[in-house]
Amino acid sequence: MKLSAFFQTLVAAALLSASVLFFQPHSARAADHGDAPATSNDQAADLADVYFFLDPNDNTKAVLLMTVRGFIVPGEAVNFGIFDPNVHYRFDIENTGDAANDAHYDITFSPRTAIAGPSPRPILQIPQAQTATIRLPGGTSFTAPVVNPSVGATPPPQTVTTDSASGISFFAGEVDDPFFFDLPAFSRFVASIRNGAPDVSQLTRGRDTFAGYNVMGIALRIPVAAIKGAGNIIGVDADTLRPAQIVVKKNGKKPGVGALAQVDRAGNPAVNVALIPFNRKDEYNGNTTTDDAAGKFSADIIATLTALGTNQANINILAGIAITKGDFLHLDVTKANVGTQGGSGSNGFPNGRRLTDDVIDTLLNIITNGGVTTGDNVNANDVTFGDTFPFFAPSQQPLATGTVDDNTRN
Amino acid sequence: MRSSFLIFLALVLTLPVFGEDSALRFLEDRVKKDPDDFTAQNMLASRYLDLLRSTGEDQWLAKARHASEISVKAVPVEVNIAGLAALARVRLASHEFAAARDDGKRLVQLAPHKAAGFSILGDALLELGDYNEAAEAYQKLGQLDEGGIDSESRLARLALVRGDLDAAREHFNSALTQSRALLTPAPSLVAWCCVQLGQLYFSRGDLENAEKQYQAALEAMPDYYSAVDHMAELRASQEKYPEAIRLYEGVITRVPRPELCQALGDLYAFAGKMDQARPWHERALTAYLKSAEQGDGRYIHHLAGFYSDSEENSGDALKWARKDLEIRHSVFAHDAMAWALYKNGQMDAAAAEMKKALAEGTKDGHLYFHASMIFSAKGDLARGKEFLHHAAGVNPRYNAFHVHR
Repeated sequence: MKLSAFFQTLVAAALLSASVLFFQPHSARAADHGDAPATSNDQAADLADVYFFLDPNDNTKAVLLMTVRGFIVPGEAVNFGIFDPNVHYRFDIENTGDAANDAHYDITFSPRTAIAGPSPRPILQIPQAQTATIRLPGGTSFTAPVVNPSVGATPPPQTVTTDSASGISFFAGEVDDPFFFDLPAFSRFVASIRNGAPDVSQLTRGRDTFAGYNVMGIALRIPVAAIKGAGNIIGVDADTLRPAQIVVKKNGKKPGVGALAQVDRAGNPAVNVALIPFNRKDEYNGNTTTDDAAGKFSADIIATLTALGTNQANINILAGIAITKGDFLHLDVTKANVGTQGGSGSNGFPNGRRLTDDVIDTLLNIITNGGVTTGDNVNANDVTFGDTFPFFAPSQQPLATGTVDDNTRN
Repeated sequence: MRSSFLIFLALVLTLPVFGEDSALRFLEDRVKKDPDDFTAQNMLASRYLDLLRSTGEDQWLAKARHASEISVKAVPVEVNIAGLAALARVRLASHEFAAARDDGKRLVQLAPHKAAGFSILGDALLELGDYNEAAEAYQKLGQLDEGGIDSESRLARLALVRGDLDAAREHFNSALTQSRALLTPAPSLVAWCCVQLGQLYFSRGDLENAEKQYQAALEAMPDYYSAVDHMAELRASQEKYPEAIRLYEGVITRVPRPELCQALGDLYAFAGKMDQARPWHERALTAYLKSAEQGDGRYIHHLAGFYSDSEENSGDALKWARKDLEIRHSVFAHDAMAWALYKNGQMDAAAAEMKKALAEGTKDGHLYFHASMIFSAKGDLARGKEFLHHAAGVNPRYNAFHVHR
């Protein structure tokens, strides 16, 4: 029996008052919420890399660099070229020979302000430069302007601020991502090892996955004397921290409050990427160098290295770098650093880390017991680094229409 | 360090305001030169899905599928979790819910401390009608994202299914407030939240607040097709038919989605203009059937509803409602089946199916109306009257024109 709309109307009319008498049934489609948003990744606090080296122009100064929020596509700088005002970007200093932090430099940023965009869409606001506050051990601080990102044809100039009281120089802004690495090749190589058939040929692609992208860079140049202890070895790592209490909720924008909780940390390259199992990576990020030294992750790291076929001697080398005294970049300040682009040649990684150091090749060689001698075949950054502080290469700018990017090979 | 970013790069809602074209061009050029660059493929898939959401254009779904499939072929998912997540989102958007659920389970297994796996798993389970399991996934998601936009928007939908309309409004409000406070402005996300909230008001007969939300969505994103679609529905509900028709025709010109054509046809039919309704219905039906023939599951539910109400064909309504139930056993799949059975005169079976549809306690005027008709036709006039009162209680304007619920 097919029921007509008219019959339905009669039934409805019989059941309810006259107010619904003129009912006309019609279809309704259930809401498709397959398009619910996916936002939960704390990119603003996501550390990419840390670098620590002596200024080749003046070895009495140490240069500390951190990069955050990787893979910014040129042209999206206005959206993503921002430091989160609720995040504390921190360099930890270890100078007593153990795994515990002895001091730290905290950098925070003012909220980004903006002026209304042109009519008719004032919501497309024009952002203004942020201001950084650099807090030094001992409680003093200074402020400095942050480079406002640009989507113009030429990158904005890199503004360096030097605090006359401490002698510390500072830079922050969007820069070319200094990391160079063939990520697909490395991932396939790792997969081949997992499958029991290590395939070194996967590393012959020689394409820099990070070429052409930008990242947010923070740089400090500090007198070595200010961070050195009794010995000549200094350890540095970077952390990002947020107030433990999440407050951007129903009441709208608010600054974070409460104790700081660590979101991410970075010391030696590739430790977390390559050696920590997926299911413990966040746990690793939330822990400390003293946890490293206490062996919290050593079993996992050693298990990974064993699975990769690394021999005991080389496991011991890597353990010395990332476990025994915590995952710090350790720099011997008696070893001179010379050369252009922040220094090159000897005395580089794993003695600290310079921008030009091919850390992936070094690590691949150690992990494979010398089996991989040519690394990932990406041997330098796609663009030249600066010769003076902050040494970062300028940000990559949007390519002109018709220009096909192919800077992945170098 | 880099690991967490690399793992979930593709999951992030980017919603670029500036430089969208140049960013897409950059990534598309990158993968043309190096298709195995799974990072770029994953970012592309994410951007394509964002564009699907904001424009409603199907081309972006096909492109997202292409990018994510190449990504997981290039690099195994064990070391390419972002690729798996991108593919899972494509499958969700394509209504391949069982496959998306399996992907979600795999993601949770591979990265149990990441929110994204739980959001995908929960979404798939919710669409499948596995509400208790979906609630568990969302609870975990809420712990991981600490009451963020992802969990709030999903808890809102779960609350809707379970009939807690006030809680749904609170969750959507929270998601909206947070979306407005994001570090990177996300107008399409703001607009999406506004539309969800507006629809919730609309479904309760509160046209004034619904209109405010739709207007806010259009202020955030003036061309947002979903906001125009909902505004057209609202105008039709207010019996402002010429304006509603103008809005529908305008959005269909830009975004020729078949469900919009059906809505316009329904509007003409609602206004008693069957001759003008027919071409829009035919256009919608042609697209629905073509989609289904190609193995696309997105319009199977629509087909059941179309044959039940827009162009009545009770046999085909039953056929497509059965197919819908083969894919999922959600409240609304059971409702579509119950209504198709009712249209076929199988009142006992319709009532049994309707009981399943009502089992979660969903408070929906349309659902209650169906229940009222079914139980009345079955001879249980008391229950029929009760459900009709429920319909009017939830939405005093339940009998006005509407296409969403």
